[in-house]
Amino acid sequence: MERLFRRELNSLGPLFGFVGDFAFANGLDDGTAFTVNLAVEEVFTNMVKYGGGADEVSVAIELHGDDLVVELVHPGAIPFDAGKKGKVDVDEVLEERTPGGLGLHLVRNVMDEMVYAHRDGCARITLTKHLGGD
Amino acid sequence: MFDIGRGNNGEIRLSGRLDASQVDLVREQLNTLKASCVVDFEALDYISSAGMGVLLGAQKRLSDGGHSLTLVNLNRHIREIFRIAGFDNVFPIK
Repeated sequence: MERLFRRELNSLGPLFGFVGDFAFANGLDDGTAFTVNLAVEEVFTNMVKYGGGADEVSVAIELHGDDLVVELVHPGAIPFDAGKKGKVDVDEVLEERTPGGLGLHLVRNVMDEMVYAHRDGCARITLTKHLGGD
Repeated sequence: MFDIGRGNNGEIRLSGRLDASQVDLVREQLNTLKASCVVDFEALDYISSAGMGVLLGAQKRLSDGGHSLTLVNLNRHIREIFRIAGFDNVFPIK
């Protein structure tokens, strides 16, 4: 399944609907659907806030065997090093905590893989979740 | 669909999906707090880092005056991401 979404926060409702339809059609459990919604929102929201570039983002979600793969493509986005984002010290005391980087920290922990690439003028973030047995 | 309101005992009640498009509503409500308060998650299905950040900001502001937010009735998915975020160290969670 693939669909274009306007690069704005009002797209989150339709985006959840898109993920929900996929989850229902493929019999994904609640926990997996929650995880995928969270990861997609965090990446999409970063594209809305910081990416510049095109007004639309392409979101594709597929099953490859036991792997659920989501790819978000943002044409014209400003390149950034995703590897340096989302470093969060979860042991910091309240006074030192800031929300910065929390979204990507969650994505890295709830998904099994997050790959960032910038090619052909597009930012591409691919998220993978291994399903099935251990 | 997201909603925020007050319960019979003064607690803040969240319901539905708290995503990045809804955080202004929560920030507005939490900014009115001057003392400790319970936030009831019983009807909340989903939250992302945007909502968590607003809760963190409120907790920091309240703690300056010796107050805090206590979070109750988190579903298992939300409880898990709060653990991943280390929020179980900065909020009383029941």
